[in-house]
Amino acid sequence: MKLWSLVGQRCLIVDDFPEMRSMLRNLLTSFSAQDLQQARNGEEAMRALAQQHYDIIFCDYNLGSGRDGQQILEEAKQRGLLALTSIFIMVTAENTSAMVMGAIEYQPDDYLAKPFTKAVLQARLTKLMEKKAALADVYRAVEKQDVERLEQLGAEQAASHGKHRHEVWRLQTELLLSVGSLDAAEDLCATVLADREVPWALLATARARYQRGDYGKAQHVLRRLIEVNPTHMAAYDWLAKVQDRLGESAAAQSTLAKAVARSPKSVLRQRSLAEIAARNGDAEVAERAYRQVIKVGEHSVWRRPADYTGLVQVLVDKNETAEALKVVGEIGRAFRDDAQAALQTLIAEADVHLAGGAERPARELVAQAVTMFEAEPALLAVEVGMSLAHCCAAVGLVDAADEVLKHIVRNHHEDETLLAEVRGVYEAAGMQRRGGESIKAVQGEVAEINNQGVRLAQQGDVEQAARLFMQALEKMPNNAAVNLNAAQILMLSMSEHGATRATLEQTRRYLDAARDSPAHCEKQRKLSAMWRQLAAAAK
Amino acid sequence: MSESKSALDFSLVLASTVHDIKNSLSMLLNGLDEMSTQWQPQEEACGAQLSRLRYEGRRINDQLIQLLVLYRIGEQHYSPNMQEYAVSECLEECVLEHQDWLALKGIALSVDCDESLHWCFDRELVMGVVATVINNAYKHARDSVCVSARRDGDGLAISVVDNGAGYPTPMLHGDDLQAPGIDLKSGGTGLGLHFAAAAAALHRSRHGVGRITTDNLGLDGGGRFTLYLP
Repeated sequence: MKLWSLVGQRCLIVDDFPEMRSMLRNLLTSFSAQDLQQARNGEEAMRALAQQHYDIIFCDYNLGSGRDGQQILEEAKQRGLLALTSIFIMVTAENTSAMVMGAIEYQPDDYLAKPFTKAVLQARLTKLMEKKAALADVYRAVEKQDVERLEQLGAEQAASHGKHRHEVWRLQTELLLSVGSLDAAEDLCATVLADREVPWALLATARARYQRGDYGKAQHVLRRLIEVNPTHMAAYDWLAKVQDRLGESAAAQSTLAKAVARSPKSVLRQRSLAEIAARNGDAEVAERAYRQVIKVGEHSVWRRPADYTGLVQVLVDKNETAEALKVVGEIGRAFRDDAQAALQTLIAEADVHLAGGAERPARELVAQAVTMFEAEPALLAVEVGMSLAHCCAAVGLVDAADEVLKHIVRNHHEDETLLAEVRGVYEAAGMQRRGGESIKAVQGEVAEINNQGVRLAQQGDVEQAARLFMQALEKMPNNAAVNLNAAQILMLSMSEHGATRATLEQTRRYLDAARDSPAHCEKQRKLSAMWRQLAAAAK
Repeated sequence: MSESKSALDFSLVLASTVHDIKNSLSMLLNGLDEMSTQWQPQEEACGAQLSRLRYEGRRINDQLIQLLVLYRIGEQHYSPNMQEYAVSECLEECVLEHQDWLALKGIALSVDCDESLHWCFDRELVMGVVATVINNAYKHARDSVCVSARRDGDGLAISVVDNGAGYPTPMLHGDDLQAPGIDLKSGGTGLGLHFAAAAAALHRSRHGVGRITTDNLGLDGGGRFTLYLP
């Protein structure tokens, strides 16, 4: 047998049962592991993971109260605390199906069922460490978003018929989808699928078609995937999205309901169900789903104040004022020291009072919310802003309503769908004319900034142009066009004077801020490709 | 409403109890493993006894899994976790887990599987079935048990054969076995086969549904168990 040990590997053991921790520790020590840390619960695990990098993490799924193993994994990935090269092993007592119902990117590297023997542990670790080592170049390319390099590595795998070729192709497809190279992603999937109907390749094909807006074809592929693999939960998520886009919102709700019945612990899926049921006017399903989101999401990185306000809205629609106020009260307890949540609490409470005809308390709450917004406009997310503007208008604070809506327009001045919603709020408040003027004025204001910046750049004053855009972003941090202009100017400057890490990171943030704007996706892709070249050249 | 609530509560109780039992089993089995590495050479009787204890521990575990999976299937809560695996790696792992204590009873455990064979299945279910059958073979085999896998038409066939006296007639099942009834008088083995058939039936694709067969075409007329997966 060849020499194998855990020398030099930093390991973390997460288990609430002290005997299990010490048993695992003994086993790992017998493989010469020296750098061993332990955590007794989710909180300690998160602290450990935030403090330093671990090569191998053993995490029991069932940790008593607090986060479970899956929630630790999701939070660690979401917060960027887990490198692709790290090995995360979920130790389980029973069937793993309830845990694997999320997206594939939130699955551990392996599941290890208790009881396991030393020999099996060694076999698994050996296999995983070999895989991580074999794919080191691939992971590096993924982290650098280096499409060209990853395509080269993928082709090498195809030629050599490598053991981990599917993993490489899957990662390659993910990257291609995320940078918007839909043709390349679909071509790769087609090659894989010609050989065998692998679930990930079917799903990726459907996602590419969804991104293209070809919902009919996406639906076709997803139905096939569900037929082959009826427990593939992500397929249901995407099918519901597709159905929603096709205007079949009732079908989308029933698709999600089916998936949720099988995976009651998935916060994101429950939330999708709650939102679509609320939109469909199905108060019963919406209420149940929102309550479930709140319950299973208690220790999850996915929890949001909006789940509470969504529930409040459902209860208000059902005329259950007392219950709605009770839920409002829970927001503050669930999200302590969270200004955004505090703002949402005020608005939700005002909403409840308004629905019950109690204008005076509502007016006071709205005024407080407006003060918070004025002090820090960035606190206001779009949905929250719409509610706030609506409340302002309802209690007669028309100037405040106008300011809030202008803030939304300033951040999304080219998003026609959103602008239509904004016009709707103005209209409902009887401020149609003022709304039209405000929207036009703000659009002009943003256009002027962009023109001025471009002019400065053309005159060769790149520094001045960059300063202008960055200043503008303080007022409109989510404006896609301004973010992209800022990114472009910074990259122009870097291509002249060389790239620095800080500027690259700043540029990345601007590019990311513009990612979700449908009107700018082409420019965003082009600039992102440019960024990757600059970043690759800088290393 | 209240009915589903109490079912949920029981499910929670079950999950936490199983978690506890599994922890205890982990301690127990690892403790036995450690003892056998320390004492094995000196005393033969001691080795046999350790092997026997190991067997009983595994039996508790196998039956716990069986009970739980069957319960979840009954409650319609079991969703198989289908993933693609290298079949030979799974089988070899199974051998790693069992060979030492089978060796203590003088039984050799071997694998016969093409390394390039990959298949989509629920690993825990399938390995649970194979472990159960190996555990059963421990009792009956003379000195040899072999686990093998091969393509069978559009499907995969995983077999466990031994060189014991073979299955008694009531336990022989032809091709049509998908979910036999449990004959409680025949002891735990009936549950094992029932579990194996139920686990097989959870695997379905457009090529069909999983199933099991038992016959006495093993080594020298010994038992042969086969799990077919679509």
